[in-house]
Amino acid sequence: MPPRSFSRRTLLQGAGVTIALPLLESMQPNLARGSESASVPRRMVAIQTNMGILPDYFFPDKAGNDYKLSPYLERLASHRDHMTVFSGVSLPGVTGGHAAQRCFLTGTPHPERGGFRNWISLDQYAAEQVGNHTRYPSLVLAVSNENATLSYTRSGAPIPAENSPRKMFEKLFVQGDPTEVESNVEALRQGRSTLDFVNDQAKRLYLTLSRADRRRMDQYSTSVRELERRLHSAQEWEYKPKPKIDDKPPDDIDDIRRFVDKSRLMFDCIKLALETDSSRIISLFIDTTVIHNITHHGGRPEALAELRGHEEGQFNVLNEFLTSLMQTEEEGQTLLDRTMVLYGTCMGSANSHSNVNLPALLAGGGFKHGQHLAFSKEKNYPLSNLYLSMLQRLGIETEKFSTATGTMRGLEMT
Amino acid sequence: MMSWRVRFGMIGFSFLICMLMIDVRRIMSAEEIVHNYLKSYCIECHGAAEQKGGFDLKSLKLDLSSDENFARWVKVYDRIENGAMPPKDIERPPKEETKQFSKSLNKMLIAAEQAASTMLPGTGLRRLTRSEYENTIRDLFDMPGIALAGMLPADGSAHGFDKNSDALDISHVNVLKYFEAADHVLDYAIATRPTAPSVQKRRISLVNRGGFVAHVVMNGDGVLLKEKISDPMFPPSGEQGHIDQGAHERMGSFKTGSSVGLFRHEDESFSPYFSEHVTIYPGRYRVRTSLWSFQWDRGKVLPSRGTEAARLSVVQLTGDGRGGQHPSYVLGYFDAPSIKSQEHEIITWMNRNEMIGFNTGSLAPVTNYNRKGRAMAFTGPGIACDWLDVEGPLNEIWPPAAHTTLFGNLPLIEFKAVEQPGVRAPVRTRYRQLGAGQNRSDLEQGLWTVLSEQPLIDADHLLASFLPKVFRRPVNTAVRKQYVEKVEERIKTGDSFETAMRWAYRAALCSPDFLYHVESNKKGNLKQIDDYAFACRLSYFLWNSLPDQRLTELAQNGKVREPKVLRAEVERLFKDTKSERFIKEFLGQWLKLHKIAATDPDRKLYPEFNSYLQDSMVAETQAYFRELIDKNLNVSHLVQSDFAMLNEKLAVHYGIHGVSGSQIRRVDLPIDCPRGGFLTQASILKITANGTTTSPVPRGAFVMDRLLGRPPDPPPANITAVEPDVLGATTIREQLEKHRNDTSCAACHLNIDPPGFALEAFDVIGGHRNRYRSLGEGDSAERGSIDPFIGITFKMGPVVDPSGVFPGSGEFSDIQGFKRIIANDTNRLLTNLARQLITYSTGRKVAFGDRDAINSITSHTQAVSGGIRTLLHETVQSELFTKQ
Repeated sequence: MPPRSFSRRTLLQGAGVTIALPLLESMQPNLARGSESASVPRRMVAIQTNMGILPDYFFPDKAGNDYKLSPYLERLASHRDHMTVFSGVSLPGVTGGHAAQRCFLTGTPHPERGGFRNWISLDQYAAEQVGNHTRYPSLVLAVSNENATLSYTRSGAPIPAENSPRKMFEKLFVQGDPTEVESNVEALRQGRSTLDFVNDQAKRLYLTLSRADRRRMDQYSTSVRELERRLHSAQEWEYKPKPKIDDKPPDDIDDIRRFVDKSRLMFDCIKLALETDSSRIISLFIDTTVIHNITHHGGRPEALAELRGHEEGQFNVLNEFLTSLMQTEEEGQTLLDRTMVLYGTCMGSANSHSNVNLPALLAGGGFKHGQHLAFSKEKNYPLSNLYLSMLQRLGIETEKFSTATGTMRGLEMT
Repeated sequence: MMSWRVRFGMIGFSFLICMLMIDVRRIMSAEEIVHNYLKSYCIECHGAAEQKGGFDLKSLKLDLSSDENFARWVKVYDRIENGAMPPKDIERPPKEETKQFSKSLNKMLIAAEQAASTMLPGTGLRRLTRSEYENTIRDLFDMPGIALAGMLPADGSAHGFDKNSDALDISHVNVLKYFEAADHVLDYAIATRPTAPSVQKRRISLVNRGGFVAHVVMNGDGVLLKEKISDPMFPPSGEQGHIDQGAHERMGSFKTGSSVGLFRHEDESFSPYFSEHVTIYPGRYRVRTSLWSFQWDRGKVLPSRGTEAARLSVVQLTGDGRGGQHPSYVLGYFDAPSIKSQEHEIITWMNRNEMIGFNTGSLAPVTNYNRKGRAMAFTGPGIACDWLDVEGPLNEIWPPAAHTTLFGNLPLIEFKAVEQPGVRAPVRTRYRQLGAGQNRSDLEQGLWTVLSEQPLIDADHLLASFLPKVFRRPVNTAVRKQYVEKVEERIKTGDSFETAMRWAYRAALCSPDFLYHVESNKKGNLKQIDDYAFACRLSYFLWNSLPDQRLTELAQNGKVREPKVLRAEVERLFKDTKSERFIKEFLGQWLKLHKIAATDPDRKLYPEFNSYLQDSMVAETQAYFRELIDKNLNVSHLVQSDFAMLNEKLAVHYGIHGVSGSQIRRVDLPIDCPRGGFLTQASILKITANGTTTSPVPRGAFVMDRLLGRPPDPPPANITAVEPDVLGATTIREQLEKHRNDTSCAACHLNIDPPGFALEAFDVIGGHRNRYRSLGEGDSAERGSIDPFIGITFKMGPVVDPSGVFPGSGEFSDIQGFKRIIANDTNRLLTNLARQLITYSTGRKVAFGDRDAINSITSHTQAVSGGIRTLLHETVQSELFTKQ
């Protein structure tokens, strides 16, 4: 498949592909959390494995800081102090068994109902606000052969994910074909010129308005100028050379049954993307539909054993990823300190298709970790509250996201 | 955002001081009068010693420059004006003094408001709301179903509506989305072929490939039928499963014209689709179907229990790999009479990659795949679909109106690079048809685009026609020239005429002239909007969209405001089907119908709830409002009436007999029926409950706020929420005892709770009840009208007590008594509705100084008959509607 052609339309979609902005001083978002956040780049990697995680091997027994590691969490033992494990959480109203996999980052209730329309996903919301700091506002990735994606636009449209680590590598590090670059640049230029034009129209209107109405027209002009700045920088990015790295492009693995290996390749790519600051907002859908049957283990020991083998493999790969982030330094901190890694699933029990008591954990990013935050198994706490905390950690000033009722209780920033 | 009052209040107040200094004697005595009156009659209970009801007069400064303070003084004014203060048991001050007081305070309030308003017009500059944007494009380009609202960020809400400038901020995200939306519109509108796409007609069976039903028929959730009996060629599943889809395909059985009887309702694993048509060419399509219903008895087809209702929807295929549960909207419910096929036809717009979906709307959820003996062991109702035809795209003319709006009559020619050296070919996007559609695109031959032999002249003509339409007012030559210059620039760089014009059109659709309601002043009159703005106000009021040609002409000729002409226009606009948008948007916000799906009724307590009931509820309220306007019924009908707008589903839900079929129609109510009026409609009852329990407080607050225009104050901080008891031990009424016993609670709750208590007779889905349903203790429940296939596990708990006292109006023992009390207060109902209509239609909240004008509207209305349509007319004819 040839690289996706960057039509003018794609460029102005801003839905996670190309419009970008270098970290220019004049565009520092106005952050409440002190000037520190303005200059510290913060990242988010949101991962879902869609066929559940066996709860018996995931959830620790005790709550608090000195919980005993469960068998799966043992695989992440070296990161115990860098992560928080959650229990008793779920996304309010998100039901429908497998259908819930579309709502892991959106939290939209009732995906199984006719007429369901999804909301904007956590990563796209973040990208809208702060994605402009990097060449790619966000990367939407998947290990899947079924068009699965975690990311949705404002109008509920799924954003196609990149399944090929090789193609992702090329996108990040291989210079663009000059004719493509020219056509991208041309489209951006036209966009900017249109913005200039409509702003002139606003200036004309302005003169006819009362004082209060002028302030409202100012809001329009400001928005237009802000968008123009973003397009301008996207244009500059087109000419900037992509980062030079020594790594060679990976060879894709075709066999979907080897999802653990495929995930490893993807994680390597993600680490490179973060390291080179090519993007700071990443979503990854790990589609293990290929083992769907054994997730309906019904208690059969052989099914459970096989399933456990797969899932432990997944945790091993996650551990490798977290370790690679921890070993990368940036301005005196580790990349893990500055990258929130969310790992979870949409079903508390794939066996019964239950969508409550979801296994989930958050590593890194700048929080006070090392605990098992246990909420009520009978009356779950909203996982969407964690998403709100994550947005605020990125420096986005918002009190609302999806079904969140506030930030995550018991999770503090550092 | 800082209130304009705070900023300009300082200037306004010093302005007031200047006024005071000019006529010291007169205006000082107004202040003095107010001060003296309060000192004599109010300070005792509301002063330093005591602050009854938490109201402290001493610390309330007579400074009217802040919003909050202003509002509190309005409250003081109102309480004294309507006799609520002093309380009944205190001696009243002399009438004459109270009159003087009210007059003086009134003067001060109006003066302060006016002082502030000299700085700016009342109606703030506001952009189009999402739905206004979508409707404007739909009407302008004659693309009645193009989907745009979903692409734009959500609007806010101010004073209950989204049409107020305070609700309509804009950010760079909005601007980006407007760009995308404009591109989408132009993609759809610009013709890329010389002739219309060929009209394809496709007959699709419900067991089509890719539509799920062929799959579930295997295990007995449906059966194939021929000539009203089980199709002998394809026996129903019994001990053996039915043949699978692959076998069907090999046998060509989807083409034999069998009807399909379906027992199973859509659910999380099952989405019935007619997948064989997936729209390639956006446009109008004719959808026809033939439906009937039956009772299935282990292989035998028998007459059904009555007319069932099938649901058709428009489903949008998305590319995310899931087979079902795609976004969709309901096209409608259609009758499926017993045994006799009924044909239905509907013309609908379809966008790219949309197809038709199906559901057995009126059937209870039933599955046979786990049943031993599958369909041959099943007895129950089914809905049969003989076929569904999709025909289109229907283009009466070519190129269609959307294209000619942009390019007039310019001919379409094949673009050949050799013939146009130095010109870049216009870009054409390849669209992929998703899903399992069997319709194919026409063979695209060549690249077609408009030809212009004199591009700058043509550009000027086209823009001269387009810009005034899209900006909804005249556009002067200088502005148009700017657009033409841009077209010229683009052509010089090598763009084709189409591409160059597209640049200009996109700019127009992103310019503030389009995105904002620009309401210029009438010539020589700073206080009124001009005729074009007036025409827009009228059309955005009743059509939520731009004026049509006739209305624009009336504005051009200066006739639109003439009372007779205006009257005729209101009648014309309301009769047009586009007025449905007014009903949907106004009710959606005023009565919060948009929130109908905000909560889910508990599955155990209300197992009979389904989407057919919910859709019917909304249709009832909308149809009722339309009927009130159509027949110009008196405003008391907001609360009380001897008829309702029902279909069979609602009638059964309400316990009313003799209504058959899915369509809403007017039904006379039996004498003792508690239904009639908005308050007892299931939609309102659902919106004011939380899915599990009801509470008098939100319901009472709704009545006070939405219908009576007396919104209660918010509760004090630190009040803990009441945990309703679904296990049946105590009733909510018992739990709210505190509201009566604690005087500080009682002050507000004596007004809020009574309407809520009356409505306790209705549950969260609007069913009438004498006893609460419970999940714990209680007696066994009777089935009543609940479908026999729905399992009942709830019990009957404590008895409902719907009695109460409405202060100042009397006692009532049930909902009918309560309704009689409020229905009598026609003036209050009318005043509130007038205020809501003004707020909605002008995008401006009702100011204190507008009260006289509101009274004028209501008294004129009452003088005729107190009818709602008259109210609409009076609203539009009012000075408030034309005010800047």
